[in-house]
Amino acid sequence: MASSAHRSGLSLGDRLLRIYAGLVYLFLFAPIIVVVISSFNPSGRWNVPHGFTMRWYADLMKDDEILHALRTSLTIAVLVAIISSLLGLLAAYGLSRTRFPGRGLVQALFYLPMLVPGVVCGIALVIWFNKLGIATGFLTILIAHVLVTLPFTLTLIMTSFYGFDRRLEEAAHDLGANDWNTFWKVTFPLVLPGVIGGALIAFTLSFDEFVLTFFVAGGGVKTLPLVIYSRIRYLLSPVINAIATVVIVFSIALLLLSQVAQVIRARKAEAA
Amino acid sequence: MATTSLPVERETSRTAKAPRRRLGGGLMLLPPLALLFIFLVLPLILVLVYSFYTLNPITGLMQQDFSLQNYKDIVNSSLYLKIFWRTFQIAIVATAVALLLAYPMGYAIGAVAPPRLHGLLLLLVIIPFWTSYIVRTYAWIGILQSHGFLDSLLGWVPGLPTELLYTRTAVIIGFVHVYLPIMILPIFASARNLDRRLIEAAQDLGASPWRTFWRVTFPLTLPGIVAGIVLFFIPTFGSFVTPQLLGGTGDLMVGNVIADQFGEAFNWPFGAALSIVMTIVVIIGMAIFFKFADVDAIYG
Repeated sequence: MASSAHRSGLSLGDRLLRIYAGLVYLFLFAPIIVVVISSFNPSGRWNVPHGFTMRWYADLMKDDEILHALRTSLTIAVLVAIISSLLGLLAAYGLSRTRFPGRGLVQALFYLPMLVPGVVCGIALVIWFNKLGIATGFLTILIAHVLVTLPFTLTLIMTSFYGFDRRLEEAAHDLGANDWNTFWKVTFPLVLPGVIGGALIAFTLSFDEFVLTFFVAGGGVKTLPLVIYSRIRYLLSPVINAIATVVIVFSIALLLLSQVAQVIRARKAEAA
Repeated sequence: MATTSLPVERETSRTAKAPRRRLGGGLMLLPPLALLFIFLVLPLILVLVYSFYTLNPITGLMQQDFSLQNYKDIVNSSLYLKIFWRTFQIAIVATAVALLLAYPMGYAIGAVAPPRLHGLLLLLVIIPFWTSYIVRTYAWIGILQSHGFLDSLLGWVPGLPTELLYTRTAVIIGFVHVYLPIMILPIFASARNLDRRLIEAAQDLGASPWRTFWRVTFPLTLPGIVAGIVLFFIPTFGSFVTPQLLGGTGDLMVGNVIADQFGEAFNWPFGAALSIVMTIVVIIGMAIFFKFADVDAIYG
């Protein structure tokens, strides 16, 4: 850790660096801020607002296509969060508890969805579902989302598995607990914050997922990002600002929640 | 920040003495592995197989005999080579611009800011990253279009470019914004591990700040820089949403062409061949990543 971080008085260079970093933060947050501001802009256009309105939110409540897509996205995201964190838990347990030849390769395989470009993944799934005769729709979106979220849930849950003292499990064993009891009474409570964090990340990623969904959705099912995409291409309307603001607030809240889960995990690991 | 750390082979020493009977660890790997195998490995193999098929020019049906025609078409057509070259150029420029923003940023957070602020400052980097890609790209449309937000805010400044939307500049801005956080994180990690005493030693020995940077700071943070570049370049190279929404119609990237083969053009074998070429470029990028970047040091 930088020992000189607390030197009294910042050098000119460090001061310039601070200003620069501030500008980069401004750049990172600019689009978010602009969307939120515009969602309350009475003019309904992209300008510095003079006034305040809730009209676009009122319009949003009457926009059946968006509301329906929102419901679809939420349903898919909840299912993906459950399935992905469950599979991530299995994979993390298996990877941290077994040693076999080619284990590195298996671990690398779990990160493959992160490395293959989204477009390639998308068309691969389209070709595959077509070959298998599976109609694209709700199920295929679900599968695609579980696939892309798995590396993230696995990563988070893995860190929980590293975080605690393996001797606790051994102690449980020595005291006569069987594998099943040891897992549910000792291991699971200790990794639970990681699993919850993983589920939240999977939820957020699924809720925002666009590229794969674009390919595997077929005609029938429309998720919220798909609706936003088609609206911004063909039909501009300030309602999009309102729903976008809702999405932004929601995503940030979930991220903060997952951070809280991380802190709890760290505390638990320390205590254990 | 734990959200970004990849698990590395750190547990080996502990697993070595892990005792016998466990809730069949190998067995638990089966469901997730089966999912990956059935819905990723097999589909990717099928893409490879399809890339050797062709479309019958008369019937439009797929001919399932082995042929290198698609690859020949890609290599022999100035159009597709041009698109690959353009994609490469756009990705390189975006990466360079991103590095100019990410390096000072990662360094400022990792080596200048007090460690107790690291969590908060990184969270502020991650928040935009976790906000919907589509929403953020959409916001740039509003900011950059003529009579858009930027015009409304700064339109009175003479000489400021307006109507940036549907230009290459807009595409670059979009890419830099979308993927900047994943470039900052590894640079932050290597800057955090930087031993400040080495810099002070160089300065005490009379090296100029310029020389100190290039001879000490830069080489020590190089693994983070390489990781950041590769992590940024790969998704940029493979993107199709950003050029679709922010770029001009004459400025499409490989991702757009692939998407078109599955939409408008309906030539799956050719789209498959383009995907294979794109994946090869990405794999080369990953190879560079693992060769030059010390993954343990970055995510440790």
